[in-house]
Amino acid sequence: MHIIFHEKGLLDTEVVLLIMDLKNSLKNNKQNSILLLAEIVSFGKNMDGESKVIIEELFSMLELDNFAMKILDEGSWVAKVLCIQNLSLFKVAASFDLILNFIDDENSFIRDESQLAAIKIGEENALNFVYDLKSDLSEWQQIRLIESLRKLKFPLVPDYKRWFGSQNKSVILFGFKVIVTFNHFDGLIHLKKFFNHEDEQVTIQLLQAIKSMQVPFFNTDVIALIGRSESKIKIKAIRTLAVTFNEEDFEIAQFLNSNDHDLFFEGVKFCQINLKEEVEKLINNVETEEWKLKILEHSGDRRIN
Amino acid sequence: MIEESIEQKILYLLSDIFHYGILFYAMFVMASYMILAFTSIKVAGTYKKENRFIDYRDILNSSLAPAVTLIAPAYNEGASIIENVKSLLAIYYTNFEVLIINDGSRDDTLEKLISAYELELVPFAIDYKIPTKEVRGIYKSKNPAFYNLVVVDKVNGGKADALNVGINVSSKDFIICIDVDCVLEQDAILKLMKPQLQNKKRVIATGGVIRVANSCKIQSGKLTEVSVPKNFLARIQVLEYFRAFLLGRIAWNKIDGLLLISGALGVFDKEIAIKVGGYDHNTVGEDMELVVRMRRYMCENKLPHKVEFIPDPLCWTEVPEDLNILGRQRNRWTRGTIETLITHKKMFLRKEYGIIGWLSMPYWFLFEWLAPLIEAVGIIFFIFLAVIGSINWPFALGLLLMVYCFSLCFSVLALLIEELTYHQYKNKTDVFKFIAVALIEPIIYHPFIIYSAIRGNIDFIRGKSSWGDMTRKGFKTDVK
Repeated sequence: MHIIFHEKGLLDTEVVLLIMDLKNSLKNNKQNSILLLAEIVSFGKNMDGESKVIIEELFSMLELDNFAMKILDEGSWVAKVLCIQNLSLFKVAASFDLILNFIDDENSFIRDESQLAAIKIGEENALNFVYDLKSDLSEWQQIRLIESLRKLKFPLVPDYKRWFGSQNKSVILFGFKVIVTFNHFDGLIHLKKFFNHEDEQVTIQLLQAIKSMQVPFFNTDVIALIGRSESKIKIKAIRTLAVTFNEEDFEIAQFLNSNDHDLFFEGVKFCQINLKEEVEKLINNVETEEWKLKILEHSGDRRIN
Repeated sequence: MIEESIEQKILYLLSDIFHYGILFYAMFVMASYMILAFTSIKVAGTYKKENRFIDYRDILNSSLAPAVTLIAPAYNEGASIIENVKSLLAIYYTNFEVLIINDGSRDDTLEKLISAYELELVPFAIDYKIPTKEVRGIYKSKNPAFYNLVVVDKVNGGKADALNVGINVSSKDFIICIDVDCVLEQDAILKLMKPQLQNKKRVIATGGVIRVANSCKIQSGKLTEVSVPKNFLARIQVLEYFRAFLLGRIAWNKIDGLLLISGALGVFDKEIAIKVGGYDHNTVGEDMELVVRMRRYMCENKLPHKVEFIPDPLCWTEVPEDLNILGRQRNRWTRGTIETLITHKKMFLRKEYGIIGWLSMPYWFLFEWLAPLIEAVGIIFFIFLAVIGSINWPFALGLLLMVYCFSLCFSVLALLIEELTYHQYKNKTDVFKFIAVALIEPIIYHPFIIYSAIRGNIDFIRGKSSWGDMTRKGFKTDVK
């Protein structure tokens, strides 16, 4: 298949006739149509401006949008993914409802591409599907969805409040990322209920979100988490508090007196960030253990987590 | 009728045991290789098909991508350290730091780094989670362009100790341990981190395909042209690596039985690496031993996990071109295998360790450790039987021919898969160069490998623990 374009980027009569011939030959040749879709996606996603307009015209004139929507019903997984990619590349609005049928597909490639397509085509309805998702949103897919949101001409902040009521843990974690990505301080109030979540991963990512946004609203709750037995949560909480600390009633000495290496280390870092005098006092105290002194010696560490 | 003496009867019996024993062992090895090969081919094909839909650029610029530390031990690398570090700093990834561990180099490795990258000594609180030799100082760059470069100067302690220092100093959740003179593909980290982000189970280690960089052109730390090595030994090793990675490891990964992530490049979950105590400096096979220990830990604590392998060339490394150095390398690999299998012998045939216990470890024992020994014994016994006139010549020659043809076909299959999947050797004559090597390899190269493995066994028994001198020539670099 050899397509010739007019040098100014517009299709002239000769070319249009060529395309019509091509269209007729593709009518009964599913394989070639799929190959053409693969080529279009490969070129189209790296193009912009007039070049992309030409590709779009070609796509439309060859009625590949109708073909792609037809394949979504009956094709192999490879064909379906190619079709979804094409439909989202050219924002075929008519395909939006059809694509939504695949957002929970058992094939992860179809599922992921249809979710991305829903953002690109759906615009203001972009992430309405998230609350109802039954399948897991992997970390990879969460990142892709957020990057897709960012690339929209007018990045939309989805209505994530509903997501925090989901039974799907990955939806909750995705909500945290959305709040952080769009600096949505208004959304933070919805996070309070997750401080005592049963899942350690949810608590840790919650702390990460609070730390990223450096908000002191939840310092009391973060301090309470330090009392938890899980060391991962304890350490994450101390690190969060190190950047959100606002002179609350918080006894840092409990960590500087600790014989737990991890807690002492985190306590020292906390003091460094918050310019606490406790570090100097410990260095000057003859009773301070040697292993603590070694850490304190280098506590002017410029690289603090 | 002449009655056979008892001695003759015993001799005939031994001869039969030898002939049929060798035959069955050989057939078992060949059958297992074919199963692994076809499984690998299927998985590699699926990966290629699926990978065309993955746009790694989505993750490339994202601040949400997980942070990683690249840990590269360096010992006497003064000749090429600047270019090597440049190559690492140029990798496509958003959130990573490069940790060069100067392991007590006696040359000017540290001085060159300090000068080239404007380094200065900085106060640094190290969390000594894993005991290591003393750290003399930590350097960071005054130049913001190298903000993610950290150089650690330490007392010499060997590769394992250097990696453990890296683990202690790392501030990220994932560590990538590499050889400092390896050239990574630009998107290597992206591909290595994908399993971490996608798998439902905790991925504790990930590796990828390693390629031979000898005679390839490297420019500004990037691979610009792939060439068949001019050196014959290196050329044979290309074929070896094809077979090992394209027809072996991919299959082991598919059944979750992978015991080994190459020491040249591997991603590890730092938390688990620390929990198991980091690299063991009492073994010369520290890469394999760490993976087995991490798997053991996860199994014993009933924690769902996975070790992943990316069927994509991610890293290019220099292989020995000198017989002595090659011999030392294979000797060390043998000792490393033996040490790991013995250290973790508890896992053998135990259900609680899953496929690692009941398949991978016995397989490595029978067909990686014992194979060279059985082959050597076979050769000796063959000579003995030939001398006393008890050899069944048609049988013996037939077996030899069968093994030779299998070896040739297996190499050609590996070559074919490489051509169909990655096609990294573009010249039309390259295939013929490799086929020529495949014809000679079983006759010339293989006996040397067996000999090195036997030496490895002997050195293990004698308690040898050193690496030996592994001199590298450095890459051919285009300088404009």
